Amino acid sequence: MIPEFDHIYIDEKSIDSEVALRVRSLYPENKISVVSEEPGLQLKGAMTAEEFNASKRTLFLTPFKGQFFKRCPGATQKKTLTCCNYYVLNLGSQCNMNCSYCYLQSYLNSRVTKVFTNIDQALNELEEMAVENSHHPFRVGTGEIIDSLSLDEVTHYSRKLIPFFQKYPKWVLEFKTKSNKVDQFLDLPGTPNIVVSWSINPPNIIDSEEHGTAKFHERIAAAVKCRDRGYRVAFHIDPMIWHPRWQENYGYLAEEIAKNFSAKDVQIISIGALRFQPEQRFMMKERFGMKSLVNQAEMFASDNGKMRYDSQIRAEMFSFMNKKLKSLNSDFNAFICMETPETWIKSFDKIPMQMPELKEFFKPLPQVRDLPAQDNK
Amino acid sequence: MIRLPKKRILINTLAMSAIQPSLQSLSQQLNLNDHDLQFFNDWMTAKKMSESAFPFLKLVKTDTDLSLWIKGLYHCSLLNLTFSETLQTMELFTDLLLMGHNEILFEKSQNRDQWKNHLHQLRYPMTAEVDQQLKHKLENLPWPVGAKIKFERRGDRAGVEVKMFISSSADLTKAISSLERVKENL
Repeated sequence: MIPEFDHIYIDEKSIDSEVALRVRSLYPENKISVVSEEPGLQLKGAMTAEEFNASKRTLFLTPFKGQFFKRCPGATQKKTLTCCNYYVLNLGSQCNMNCSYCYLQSYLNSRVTKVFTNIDQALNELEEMAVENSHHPFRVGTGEIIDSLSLDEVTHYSRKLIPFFQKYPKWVLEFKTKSNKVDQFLDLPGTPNIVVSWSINPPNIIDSEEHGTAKFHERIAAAVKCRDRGYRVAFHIDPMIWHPRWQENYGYLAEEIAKNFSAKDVQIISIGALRFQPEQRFMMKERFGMKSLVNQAEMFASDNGKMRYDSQIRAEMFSFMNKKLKSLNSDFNAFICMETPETWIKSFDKIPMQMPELKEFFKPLPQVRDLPAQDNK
Repeated sequence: MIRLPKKRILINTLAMSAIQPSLQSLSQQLNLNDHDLQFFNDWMTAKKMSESAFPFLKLVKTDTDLSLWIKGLYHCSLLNLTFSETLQTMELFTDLLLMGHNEILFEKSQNRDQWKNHLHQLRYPMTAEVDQQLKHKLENLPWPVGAKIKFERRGDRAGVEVKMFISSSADLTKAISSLERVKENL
């Protein structure tokens, strides 16, 4: 079933784009309008909860103006965070799913879900970069400010990106998703440098906090399908959310991963704990109420301004998850995401550069032009 | 019970139109007289309180909760909290209200620090308990003689601030040796 929208706007500059033609073939005419500018562009300031909800139900196809390819936000916070050299390729913004903790609630100010129609320009940017850098192990993800695959049945961008990255085997492309939308590209055989990853939580957390996403076993089943077609998979156990039976529930999650996948199947397992910008707390409470475990959480301001659990609780959660995963399969590569060196030491007893299996991910890479960092997390 | 003149109720609370109807019921509930209400209004004026200062007020949806919310704000005025203390306290108060707490919120409300501590413990029960244990443990470590130890929570971290006066290398040697013992006991 294709994703539902209340209305779809097509920028007149995108009217002949492949994705616009595809949208016209999938959705009824009365849901589609051609416009000369972004709907709601004149509205200034932060969105209300209602406007934010509405932005998820309004699709806007438009060309992206600017540089597609950016460094991960962790790169802007090198002084406080230990970052894993990740690059992001933004093919849209906003998400048609609805997680209570989503950082987009404090990041976006556009009243629409955007899908950028000029993906060929993004590929040209990458092609230029490849001239000098095809031998460096860049990791590129498309799921930073939009889910990589939840709208892919509509855009079919995976079908362009997979063959492109297969030309550069040193580069790794990562589709990061909370959906189970993979069938649209599974006729293309996978290669080890194409990673399909799932942001995943135990079933009870998915039910209470990750609304409109694929269920736990749907995500695992989709990952199995990808693995069986030769794709590598990855898991982001992020954000871990503390609750009274967290060890039992996260233990189950780890067991399910280990039951279904070998270490060879899984490129990486990243672990992170709940964190958010303080300014989004009111919108979170307004949209999800105080029954949400995220809104009930005991959060405190951290050094970089984000709200986080107490540092000891975080270290306990990371250490538990790491030990559990290693006890199930000692070859799993697990690391923590968006964390301070102190938390690394408390949780893993060392920093990533001291861990041979992770060194490659954290080793500084050469500067690629003057790539800006995505300034959102 | 004194019936409040409408004009008086409007003084300085115009900027907080959301609380107007509940203010009337609060004055009845708490048996406030003209003088009390004037005091509340004057405090709000002095502290430059307005609805926009409380972005979390929009989360309070029911009349009952709104009455309790204003009662909370009234207690802030009685304790003469500063503007920022009032914001912090009322944000905690709002969370607790939405989590289903009601009259328990006003326990220990006669004393500024005790009330703030009480609300903090209600909102952060797990952290409060862990902090209490950690405080006890840290304060009973063999710190150097004369060192002043103060347990503190600083955002997402809890620990101790240690103040020592060193006047000679012998003092320093003793202090280091004590700190080594502290490390062993951690």
